[in-house]
Amino acid sequence: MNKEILDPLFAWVIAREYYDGPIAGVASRTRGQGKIFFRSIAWDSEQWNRVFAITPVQDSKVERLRAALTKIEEPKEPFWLPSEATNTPEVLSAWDAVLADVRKSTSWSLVESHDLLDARSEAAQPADLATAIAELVTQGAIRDIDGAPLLTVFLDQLRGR
Amino acid sequence: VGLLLSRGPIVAPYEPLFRDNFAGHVLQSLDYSAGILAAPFRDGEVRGLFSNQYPSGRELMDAKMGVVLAAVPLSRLSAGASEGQLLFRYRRGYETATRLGRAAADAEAKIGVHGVSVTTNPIAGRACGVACRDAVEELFPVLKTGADPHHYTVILPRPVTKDVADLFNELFRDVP
Repeated sequence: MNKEILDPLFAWVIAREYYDGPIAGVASRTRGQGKIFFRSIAWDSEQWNRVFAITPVQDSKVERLRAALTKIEEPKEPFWLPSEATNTPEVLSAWDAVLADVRKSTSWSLVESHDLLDARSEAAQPADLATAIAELVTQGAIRDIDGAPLLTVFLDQLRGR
Repeated sequence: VGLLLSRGPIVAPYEPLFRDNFAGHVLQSLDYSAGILAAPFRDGEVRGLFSNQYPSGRELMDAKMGVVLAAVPLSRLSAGASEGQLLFRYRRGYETATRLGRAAADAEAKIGVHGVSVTTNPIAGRACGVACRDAVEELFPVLKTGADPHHYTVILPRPVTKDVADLFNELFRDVP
């Protein structure tokens, strides 16, 4: 079921992986509605529009990550791509803590967006595709999708249509 | 760099360029000051033929997907991190000025540099173009960006015109 809203879904993004836009990282929902981990699992032929799988992570773990990053760099909002200088044991440990939450998650939803900051809607993960989507996230794989709407074509492809 | 290549009976001195694709050629002799990179990067690995391996007589496509990308002196290969480094750009064919300009403007807004992403560690099987970093840096600056040790940004002039797009596309050869 789609939840259509007018306001942006996310207030800020910290990208761990980046390629012409965010690939993976954490983000904060608007209005203090919690933190999420995201990973791109599909993109269009120009790698512009992306399908992100997102899952909740504990606020405290994301705050620990931000605190560790902020010791090294000035925090940036709404988009932060930390530099290579942030690959310290403390920051890497904080990322690992976030990923520990992610590995346990069974609650994923999907967002079609370029960078999450322009996202206005999210869709619950279709139950029949839970395994396929979890595999894409685990593998760090990104599907190339030709055709629009991106999310619909992506889901059809996963179903083998 | 002294390099002799032949295809069939042809043997000729050749000054290799970064953009050359020597697939199918047979290496006849190789000056010991030269090195060759062969990159079967479909499986994510970069394998090489180097002059100290005495590769004369080897076909330059003996690896899985071998394409000779560069011939540079071995001294340069070992001299620094950027020497002989390969940059991969995910794409399927020509990238228009509009596409490159949009990506560059987005990067400027997000990470403060007007450019597009490249990686030294491409995802196996993903369509991409490849170029030697040295060749790219003759035309465009390359900056290390992000925490990912493999991610770089190629800085593009503003605006990204068709001429700029043509130059950029010419640098990156599609991986077969």
